[in-house]
Amino acid sequence: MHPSRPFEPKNGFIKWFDRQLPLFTVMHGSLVAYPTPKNLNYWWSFGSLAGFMLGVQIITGIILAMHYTPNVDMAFGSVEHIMRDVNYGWLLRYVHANGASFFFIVVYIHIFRGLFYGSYKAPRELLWMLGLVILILMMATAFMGYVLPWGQMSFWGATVITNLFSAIPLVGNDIVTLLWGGFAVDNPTLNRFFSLHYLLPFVIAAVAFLHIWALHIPGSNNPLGIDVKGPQDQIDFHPYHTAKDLFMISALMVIFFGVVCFAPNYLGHPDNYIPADPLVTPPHIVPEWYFLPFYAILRSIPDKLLGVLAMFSAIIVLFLLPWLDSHKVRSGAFRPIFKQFFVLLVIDVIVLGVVGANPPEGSWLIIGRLATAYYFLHFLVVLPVLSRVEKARPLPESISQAVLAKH
Amino acid sequence: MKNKKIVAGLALVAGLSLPALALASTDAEEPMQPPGGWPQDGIIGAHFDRQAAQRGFQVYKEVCHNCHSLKYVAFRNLEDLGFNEAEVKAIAAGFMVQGEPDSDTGEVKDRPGKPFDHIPSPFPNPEAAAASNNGAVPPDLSLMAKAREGGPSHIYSVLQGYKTPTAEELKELPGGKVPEGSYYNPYKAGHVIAMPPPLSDGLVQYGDGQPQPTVQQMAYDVSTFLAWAAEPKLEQRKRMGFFYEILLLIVCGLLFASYKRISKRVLGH
Amino acid sequence: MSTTDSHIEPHGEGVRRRDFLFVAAGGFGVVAAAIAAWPLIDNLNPSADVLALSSVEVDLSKMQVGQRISVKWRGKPVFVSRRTDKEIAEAKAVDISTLRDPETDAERTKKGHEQWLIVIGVCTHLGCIPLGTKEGDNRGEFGGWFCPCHGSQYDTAGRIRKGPAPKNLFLPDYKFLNDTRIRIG
Repeated sequence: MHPSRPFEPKNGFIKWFDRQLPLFTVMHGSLVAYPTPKNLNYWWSFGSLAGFMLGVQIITGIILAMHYTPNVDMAFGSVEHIMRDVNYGWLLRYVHANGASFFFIVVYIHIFRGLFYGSYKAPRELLWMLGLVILILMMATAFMGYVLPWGQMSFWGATVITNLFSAIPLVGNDIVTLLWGGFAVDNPTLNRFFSLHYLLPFVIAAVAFLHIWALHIPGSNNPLGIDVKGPQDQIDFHPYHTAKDLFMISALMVIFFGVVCFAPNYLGHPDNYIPADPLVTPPHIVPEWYFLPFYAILRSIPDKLLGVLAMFSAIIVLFLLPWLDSHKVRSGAFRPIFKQFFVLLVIDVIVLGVVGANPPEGSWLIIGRLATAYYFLHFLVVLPVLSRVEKARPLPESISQAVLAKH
Repeated sequence: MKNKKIVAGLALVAGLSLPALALASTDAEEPMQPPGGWPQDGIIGAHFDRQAAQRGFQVYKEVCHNCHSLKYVAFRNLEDLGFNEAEVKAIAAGFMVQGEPDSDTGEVKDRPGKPFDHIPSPFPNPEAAAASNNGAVPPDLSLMAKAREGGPSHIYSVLQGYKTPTAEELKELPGGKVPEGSYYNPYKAGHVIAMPPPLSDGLVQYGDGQPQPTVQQMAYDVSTFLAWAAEPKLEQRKRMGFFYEILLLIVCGLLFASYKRISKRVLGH
Repeated sequence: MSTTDSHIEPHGEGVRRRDFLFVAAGGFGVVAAAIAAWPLIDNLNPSADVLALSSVEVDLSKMQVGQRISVKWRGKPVFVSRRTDKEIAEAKAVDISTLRDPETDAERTKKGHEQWLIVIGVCTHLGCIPLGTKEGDNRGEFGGWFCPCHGSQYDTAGRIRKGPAPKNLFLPDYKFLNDTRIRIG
């Protein structure tokens, strides 16, 4: 997407600077005069919200790292030191802990928006896949971050998740020993997790930069899923989207600070306020809520290796999505059958989440297996079949026409 | 259009309510709330009952401290409960803590506590604690009110929950009986607890003008104290939260109006 | 906002109200951001446990005349010197108008406890720890302390006499609890 108008600075310094390094031209082209479809709805703000939450996490994380000690004997105590003695330490920690949850809420909504409106389809396949890379990096970062307070859930979560790699044939156990740096999760594990937990957010930021770059080549998809035909279909990013995104950020913060200040431990688990004990496993080990659907898929398969493979496949299948769903129409709004299956997928993922939170026994096991089966069926069978047979409703001529018709 | 919004809304709500569902499978009985609830709960005016917390500290000191440490609480923190500086000094001096090595001999002697010291553990190490308690280390109580489902209500209930099990309740236990050296308590997961009933009516002498030290009163007091010990910044957090919310709602409203105004200007609607 | 003036047109009222809305939104937004930023800064200040340790009591009863000791206070050494009569006399004899940082000996000690000099043992030049507390240390030309980093020399009242340091050794906040016990901080 070319800027809607050239950058013409008046200020002498900016002119001089920009001639040698066109930083202002690039910023102007991607944040001010960046043309976007004029029919974007509120769901399109969740990309900005995700970027905002990444910023919140990096800033609070850097500060927490100044007060935290990554040592098995001191980690738990240093978190309590933050909670009790550091000025506003409790606030920073609760913002960071709940910030991870809100980052995931925002990103999951962002992903489902892409799934519904076909944002993964050409010419945006790479954009979609870069987003999935961010998701995987977020999961790794969140998992390692949860280990740092060195509570019971930290320790046993780390043990269980790293043990997934022992499912790899032949070299599995050697890989686990390598990950741990010992024969159990211990001080070396904590130290390397801290190092990586500090590093990965910056990798996320770098991939997010590529993600935005890849977005700005074709420009945003839109609720109609049709291409822009010209300037009459578009609006500059500034001031329209700046205002809209700022409003959305403030709305998110209203909810966020409600949780941080009035229910900061609601999304956590009480067992993580018990210091890690390598000799006692808590009765119910539950991962953080954002991992529950994947955890349910893992446990629904009785074989260790196949379970692990299924869990990783749940994300890998999303990489293939642009080719699995080859229907010509992007937006789910014009695909009546797809729409119903989409709703089913959303329910399915929620069900998987509930199953993941419950012990793998009795009816939970059966529900978990059915939900897992549907998850893969949806992507591997339903979408390819619909691509062939589904007849879409007629698309509007252009975005501006549709907008005019609506108002 | 409407459907989509509902579905996404549901997804958000479900995401938030999952942890609650996750806890449905514990077999401990639903903990009791004190009559009238906890004053530190709620949004506006949430506060710790300081009188109760001060009495609760007395119960901790005279009863719980025989076995349980409270290592993340320093004596200086007690000023938060309304003790003045001199009282805190006196309380601290009533505990012996490990001193610094003597500069001449290198000998380490215990000395009376000072406000900056943390409340010392009743046992020198976990092994000693286990040896005195049938092999089970009594857990540190600093975070007990956050480390159990139900929080302070859990402590309040367990302290009052000791009873002789009925034949039916016995049947639910593995082996059909309470294990040797353990006690029946339905508020504990598994309904069996290693701690002997710690409270009995009149166990602690409360000062003049204070309520009768019944088991229920002491349970309430010490649970209040431990709720404070686990989350000493709760009051500040909720006060700031209320202020943040008001400010954020104003900002949110103004930004929404601004967005609408700009939308009208550049989009015409 | 000065833009209001240049915008007064037929719809002047509307424009003014619109600008007011944006100014209000921006203003409240900046206030909110500032409030959010404060915890990000204040957490770097000393935490409650550090502040609680900010006073230390020292027992002076075992110190000999002429002995100097160093006590750790707030992560820095405090020099306690039980001065000999000769050292006190030397400190008092100095013409303070010749000093870089003029202070009398009386200003640097507590009345009735002139024997005791208590100073923060950090060179006022660039923060090194001067020599002269341990026996056998180089005490410089003035019998006080000598900073090995850049050669600053202090006298028996801890005043700067020679070298690059601009100020006398700083005095900590302290008081005598009784004749043989002080509390620093």
